[in-house]
Amino acid sequence: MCLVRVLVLAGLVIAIAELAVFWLSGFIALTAVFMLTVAVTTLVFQMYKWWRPENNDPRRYGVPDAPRLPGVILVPMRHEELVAGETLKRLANLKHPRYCVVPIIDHPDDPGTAAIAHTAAEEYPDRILVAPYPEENSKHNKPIGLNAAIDYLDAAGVEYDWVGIADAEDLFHVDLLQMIDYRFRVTGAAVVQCGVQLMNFGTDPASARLPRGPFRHLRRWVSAHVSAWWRASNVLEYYKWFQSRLKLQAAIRVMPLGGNTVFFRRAFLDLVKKHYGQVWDEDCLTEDCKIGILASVLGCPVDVVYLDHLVTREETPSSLRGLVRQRVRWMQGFIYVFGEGHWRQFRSFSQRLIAVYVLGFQFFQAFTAVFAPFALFLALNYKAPVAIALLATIPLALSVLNLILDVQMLGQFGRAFGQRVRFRDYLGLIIGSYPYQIVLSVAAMWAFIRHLAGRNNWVKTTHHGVHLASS
Amino acid sequence: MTAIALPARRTLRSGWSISRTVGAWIGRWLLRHAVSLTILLPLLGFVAAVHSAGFLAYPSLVDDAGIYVAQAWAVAHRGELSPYTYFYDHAPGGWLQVGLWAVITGGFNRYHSAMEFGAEVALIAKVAAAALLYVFGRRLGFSRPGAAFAVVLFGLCPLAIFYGRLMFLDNIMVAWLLAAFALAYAPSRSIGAATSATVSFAMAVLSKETALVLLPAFAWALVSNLDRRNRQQVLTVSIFCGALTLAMYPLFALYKGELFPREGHTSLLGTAAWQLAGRPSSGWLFDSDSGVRALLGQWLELDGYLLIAGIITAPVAIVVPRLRPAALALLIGWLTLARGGHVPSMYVIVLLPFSALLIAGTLEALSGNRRVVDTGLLRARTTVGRVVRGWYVLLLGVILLVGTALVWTGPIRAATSAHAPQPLRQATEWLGAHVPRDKVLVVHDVIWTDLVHRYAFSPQPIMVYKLDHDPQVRQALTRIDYLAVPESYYRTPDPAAYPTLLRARDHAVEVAAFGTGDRAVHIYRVSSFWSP
Repeated sequence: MCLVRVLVLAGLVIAIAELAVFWLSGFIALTAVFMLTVAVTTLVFQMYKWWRPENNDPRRYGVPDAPRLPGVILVPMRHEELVAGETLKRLANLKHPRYCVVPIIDHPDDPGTAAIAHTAAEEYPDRILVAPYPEENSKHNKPIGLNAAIDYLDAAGVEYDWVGIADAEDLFHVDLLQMIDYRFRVTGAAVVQCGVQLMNFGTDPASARLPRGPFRHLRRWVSAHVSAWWRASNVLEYYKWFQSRLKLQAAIRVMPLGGNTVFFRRAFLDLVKKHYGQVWDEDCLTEDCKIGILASVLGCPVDVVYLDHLVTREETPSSLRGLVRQRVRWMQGFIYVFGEGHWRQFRSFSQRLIAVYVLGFQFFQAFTAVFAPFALFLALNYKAPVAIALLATIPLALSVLNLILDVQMLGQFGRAFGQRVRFRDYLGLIIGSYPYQIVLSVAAMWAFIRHLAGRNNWVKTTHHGVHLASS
Repeated sequence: MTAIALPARRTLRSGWSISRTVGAWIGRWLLRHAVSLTILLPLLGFVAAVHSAGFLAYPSLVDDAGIYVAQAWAVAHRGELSPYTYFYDHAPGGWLQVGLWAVITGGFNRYHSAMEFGAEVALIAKVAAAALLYVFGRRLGFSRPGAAFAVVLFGLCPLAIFYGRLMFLDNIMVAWLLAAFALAYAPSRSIGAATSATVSFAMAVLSKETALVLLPAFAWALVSNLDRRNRQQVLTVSIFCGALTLAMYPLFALYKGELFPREGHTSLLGTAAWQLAGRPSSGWLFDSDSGVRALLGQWLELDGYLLIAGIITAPVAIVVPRLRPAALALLIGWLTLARGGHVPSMYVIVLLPFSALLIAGTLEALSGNRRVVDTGLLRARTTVGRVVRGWYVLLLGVILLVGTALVWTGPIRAATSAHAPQPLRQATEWLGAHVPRDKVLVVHDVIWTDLVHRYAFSPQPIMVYKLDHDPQVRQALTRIDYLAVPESYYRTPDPAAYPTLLRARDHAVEVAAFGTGDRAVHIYRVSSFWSP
């Protein structure tokens, strides 16, 4: 089976290469049409929030009433001494009458975080309940911890209707649970996904980590300026993903979920467990994507809430290397979910088609953004017919449009979150947009190679708490 | 613990599907617009019937329409923009669409004459424009009878029938232009609608570049229908996409290396400079012997009512905020005419729908339609206002309809009844029947496509204008065997316009003659001892 797939893939690659060699115009036309499709759909997906005025109405989610459903918030933690205390304290003080916070800690492996968690649990005895990570398991990843915590809660007889997931660095807004509770009741959704937003976008030195050693402030200033080009793009990616893309995907009921600030109905988790044996897939690098696809396959509606003041604020990866690692993990996870083939159980052809598009999107987009200028260059340099050269111009022009929209959105982002966006931030965004796409396509290649090589160990993103300053 | 059941899992059975969503949307659309459709469809049928009755004989064929059909034929059958060197005289969007339509439907093989195919395209454009005018009116807040009245005015105006029956690029342009305005007023205020509007406007400009002068009016219409919640994104995306569509034309020239003027090459900017500055001006509107004045005389002779009523209602329309962009469009149209510069006769086409719209709109405003005018001067509770509104409006409407019928019945009957056969058509048939296919013909533009496509003359006949104006044609010219152009060409006031043609006729004998007067076509056989 695997051999057949490899052969088909190889055949396809050879066919495309032959086309490129023997009939360049045809090759350019074909790629241009493909890139055009990707560019247009990208645009439509990311503009969904602004597509119609009512999609962007501040009152579209309604006004939450008094919360009443009991719930738990799971917080997987590992080596998070820097942020754990702050996070748990914040999570214990949300406005909701009946919920508890469950940090998941591997005690022998991570005594530092364990100590912080237990101190917090003593401080808030009716709010915080520490769940142990299964010690017998030598592997460490998020889904194993989450599954173990669910079993632990069931064994302990804790009452809950919904389960929320927070990362160790996540500061939920105090009003968040009211909104979640309200949306669960009015929409009848099985999953409520709330917005997550990266915050540190620019050349502001406070957006970078203060290093140790001499000239630390100067070094921080330099590092903030040098890394601004990719952080602005990264921040905007989240901005677009949670505001627009997820909403449209929820509307057409094919959606990978986010990794945190996501809330599941207990009945839904039981349903998944009944159908698939475990709730979160312990072999999958992006268990959040997979459970979203499962929810869609099972026909369970997902509600997406993005309100500027309610979003969970996070930080961009600490270095470019961190970003690439994170992307490799995500992309590899998406390949895994695609290869597993649960999406084939979608009942309608449209949904299967969109599933392929959604799961492959990161790869298509990386290819399109990087290849668009070359397609035009090839068309002009090798005297393709003018019509084909014009066709090859459009994807490139649409990436320029995307960049203009990004610049506009960065300004909007700054206004929404009360951060000053300076000229050099815009400049960084503009200069960085193409290299950023190159970085993403490098990550895509790497992920693909890792997948073929069968390496799927977990590369964790490090958290430094830079975003805490801004919130 | 509160027990909560998951929602019914019907979605598990069906899932989301594009076709079902689209189907449901169409169903809702039909239901919502059922009343409008029952009014509009018969009306459009009537307009189309009047428009096409007797189109073979009236009006007489004009060279411009022939050139565009020939160019559309070149697109469909040769994959080129023109049978001769394309020299950027017009943006090619118009005949590209016609060529595409011909490719899809096999257009040039369906009729006896290519000009009939051209008439079909013009009919489609007319019906589309009429339907879009209805939508435009409704979106401005007109009542259904009001919007339908605008359609009647535009669809049945003798001037619109005269110019609407020929395949002028302006006809295609007007359809796109009305689409652009109707979409700019889309009630959804979505990015999609605004982008479609700007792209339609760009298509209008690509179909006929004169549409560009209406940009301020279109921009005003677009801006007046924005929503605060998505204004920024709507403007960015729509303006960019419109500009991108428009940019295809200069990019085309750039990629071909024909954007900037070069020695021995046609170029977009070179031709544009000639068109804007180098062409003889048609003079001022208010100068009694200017070309524009003569043109206006021709138009008013065909029908003056719609044009004049449009101009009269424009000042009233300006008082109504909702009608201002449309009024601006009409005013710009008239000002362009008054400014001087080169004005072709079919320019009037763009004035007609806006005149019709403003007449209907003014009536709507006076009748107190709250969706057209909610506050201001026209809503003031005056005695005049009360008299004008209410049942009097119905009376006014009836009077107007009767008036329209009285005024237009004569011209419409003339336009739709049988006329004498067109000399150019007869000449084509004669050439096909009597002339060997290898002879070199110099022919009028209108019959060129038929001679090439239907009668397969090879070497291909020479369009009379190209004979003296296309360097490539002149270089390749070794002999001329037949001349088939209307008499008016031999009587042009400027003898330098067609020197070769005139010299050829001096060495020719007449072999056939059709029609009388300026439109008459005499076919001459040129002596084989003479060479150009």
